[in-house]
Amino acid sequence: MSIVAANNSGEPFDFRRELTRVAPHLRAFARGLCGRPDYADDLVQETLLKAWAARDSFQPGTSMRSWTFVILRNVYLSEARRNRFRGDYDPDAAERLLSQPASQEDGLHMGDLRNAMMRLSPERREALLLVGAGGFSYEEAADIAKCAVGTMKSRVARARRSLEEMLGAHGQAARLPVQSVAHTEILAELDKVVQP
Amino acid sequence: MKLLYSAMESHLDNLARRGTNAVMSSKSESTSARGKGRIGRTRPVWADGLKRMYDEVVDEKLPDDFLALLKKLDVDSGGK
Repeated sequence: MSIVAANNSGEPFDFRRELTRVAPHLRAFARGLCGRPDYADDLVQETLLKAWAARDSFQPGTSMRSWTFVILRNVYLSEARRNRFRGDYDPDAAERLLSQPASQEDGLHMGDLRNAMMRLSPERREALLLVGAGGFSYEEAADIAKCAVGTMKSRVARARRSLEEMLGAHGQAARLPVQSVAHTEILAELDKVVQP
Repeated sequence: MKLLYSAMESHLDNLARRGTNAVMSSKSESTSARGKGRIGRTRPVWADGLKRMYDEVVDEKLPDDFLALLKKLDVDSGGK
C-alpha cells in the first residue's frame, strides 16, 4: 500500500502529516504515564518509529490518535517490564516538587497532582489519563487499554476516589512517602499484546 | 512553573465565577462567589488540573528532534 491513500473524504492521506499531528498527544500521554518528560520523549520517539514501520496496517479513516496510543502503550509496557525493579518514577523529583514552597496555599498544586497521579496504580493512572485528560470515551479507552469497558469504568472510578483521598479537602497531597509503582495487571496483559 | 501557577489562578477564578463547589484555594475563596456555590455535579478541581496537565504538553511546540525524526521518516520513505 502506498503511504498516500484516500480517506473517507477523498482527501489524500498523508501518514507523516497525521503522525506529526498526533505527536503532541503522544508526548502528553507518555508524560502522564511515566511522569518523566525526558523518558516520555524517548518513548514517543520510539513510538513514532514503530508507527512508521507499521504504517501499512493503519486504516485511514480510523483514529490515528488511538492507533498510536496503543503502540506507545506497548512501548511503555515493554520498557516498564525491562526496568520493572527500578520503577519508572523518580522519587527524588517527586520530593523536589513536594518541597516547593511557592503557591502551596493556592489550592491545588500541580506538583501534588502529579505526585498523586504517580502514586496511582499504572492501570488506574492510564485509565484516568485516557478518559479524564485525553478525552477518550470509555469505549475508546477500553480498546486502547485492551480491557472491557466495565473494567475501564471501574478503573476510572477508583482512580478518581484515590486521587480525591490523596489530594484531600484542600487539593493538596498528603505528605505520604512516595511509593514506587508496581505494574501488576498491566504487565500481566503484556503477554497478550500483539505489537502492531 | 510560574506560568503554571498563574494559569492555575486564572483557572480557579473562572471556576469561582461559575460558582462551582470545587475545592479551591483560600486565596480564590476570598474573592469568589464560592460561598454561594452549589453542591453538585461540578468537576473537582483536580479533574481540570489533569486536563490542563495534558493540554499543556499538547500545546508545547514539538521539539526539534521530533521534527527532525518525522522529517527523516519522510525522506527514508522516498522509494515507497
